[in-house]
Amino acid sequence: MEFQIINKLQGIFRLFFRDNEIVLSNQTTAQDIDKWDSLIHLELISVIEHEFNLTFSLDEILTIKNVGELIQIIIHKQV
Amino acid sequence: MDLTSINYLGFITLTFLFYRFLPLNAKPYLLIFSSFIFIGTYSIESLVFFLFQHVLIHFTVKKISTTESASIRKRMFKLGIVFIIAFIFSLKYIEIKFNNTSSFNTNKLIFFLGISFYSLQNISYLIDVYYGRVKRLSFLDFTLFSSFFSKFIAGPITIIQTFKITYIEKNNTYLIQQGINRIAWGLFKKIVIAERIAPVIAFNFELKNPTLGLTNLVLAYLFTIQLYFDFSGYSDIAIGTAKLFGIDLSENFKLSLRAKSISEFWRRWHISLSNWLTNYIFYPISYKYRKKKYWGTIIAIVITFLVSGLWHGVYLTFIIYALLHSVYLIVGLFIQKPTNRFKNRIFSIFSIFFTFNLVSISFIFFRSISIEQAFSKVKCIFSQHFFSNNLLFDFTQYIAMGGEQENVFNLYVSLFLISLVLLFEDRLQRIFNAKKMNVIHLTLILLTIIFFGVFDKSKNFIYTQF
Repeated sequence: MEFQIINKLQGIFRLFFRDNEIVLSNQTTAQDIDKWDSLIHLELISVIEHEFNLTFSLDEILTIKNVGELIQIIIHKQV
Repeated sequence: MDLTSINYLGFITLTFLFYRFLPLNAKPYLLIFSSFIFIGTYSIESLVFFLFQHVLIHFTVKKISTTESASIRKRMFKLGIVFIIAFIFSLKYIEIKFNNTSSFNTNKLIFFLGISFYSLQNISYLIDVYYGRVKRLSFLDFTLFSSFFSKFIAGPITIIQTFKITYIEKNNTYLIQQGINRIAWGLFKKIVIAERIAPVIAFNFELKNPTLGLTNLVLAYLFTIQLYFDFSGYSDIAIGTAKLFGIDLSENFKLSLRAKSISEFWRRWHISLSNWLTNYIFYPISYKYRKKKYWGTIIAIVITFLVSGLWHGVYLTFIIYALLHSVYLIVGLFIQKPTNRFKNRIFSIFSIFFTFNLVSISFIFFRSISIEQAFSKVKCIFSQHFFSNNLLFDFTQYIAMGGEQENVFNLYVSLFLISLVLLFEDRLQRIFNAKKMNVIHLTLILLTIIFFGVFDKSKNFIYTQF
């Protein structure tokens, strides 16, 4: 399940940042992707919410530290 | 007690010696005691105001975390926030009313030292406890977190989640070595570079008002460089000092003048304030309005920067500075995706230079003593009088005179050396962020500070006034 989610997220990220070289891992953070800043973070989160059909709370958005944590929240919400 | 003074070096040496030999349970008390002395040496009023807010916030947070009634919790939370904000603005108002009439004056009485910095820390502490993100601290831990002396004057603004203390074992000295390295690097940035530029800027913003476009542009560049080395040097000393006591403070500057866009600039410049504003102002507002898509982000950007501007001071110059950065970011938001495809070196260099220019223009508003002066300087830059017929004389006289340089040659040597430091800043930073002390590097930098440092002017740190 984790593998499928990370693959889907990678597709979303590549399309969103218009960069086909992005490779996601559990440890990937905003620091690793050049254009991933706070200004577009919520826009990216909205796209992820739409693609996975779920909603993140503000607290969840504030506490996500890396892609691994994002995946765990998605898994938790999909169960 | 300024962080670049001999008194401060003596103060941390003494505190450090006691700290090393005291038993573990006495160490926090020593740090709190030293912090109170440190604040008290600036002014007793600062210490009294600090303690007043400190005790009040401690008991507000205690009430929030112990009561089960949701309405009381909410009321206490709102009361705490309103109290801190009222506290900041009433003290800033008093300062304007009694101390000066211009926005930028480094000679202000440092009456309410560090108020803006620890107030922001207290707001985040209140919010995080209220929303259950952190547990309430004991009075001892909260006092140490709040008062720790090296970060008290000008940050880094610390949130509880990032304030880590490791009591160093006697045979483990790498944190101490790293601390000494950082302090030396900070002293170099502040005393050798920032203080060398300071008189040029003060002369041309407070005494004279040059009308040549090129001079004003170079002055804007120099002020950006001065502010960067002044503030980042100070942060280096604060972070380095904390390391001596096993305290990890978050980084505040990361090669800020190499940002390729304004949004990247804010990820590299005064990072602790940017993070604070992002987490406690920008995200909650943009989350609330996120169904409005771009409009939600635009509203959040403008409000966040207005708060930042007002935090610096209730002056029109800071408001314009804040609005200018809002416009930069909003425009950047729309051109960011189309420019993603350009990834070559030339475009990167152009982006860095362009961003540096945008930042420098905004800092004219930040530094000017009145809104009229700021607009007149910007107007000069964009007027037809950018160059003059006697360029060498018209351009150099203001900068060389203000810099108290002995001659024009001396001025160009200074500018050349500053450029060299900027060019090799990443390498130098790596050397002085190392976990091991290198005696040769340390001796070299100390000799540079002694021979090329500007000591008599170093009492003013730009950011103490905020």
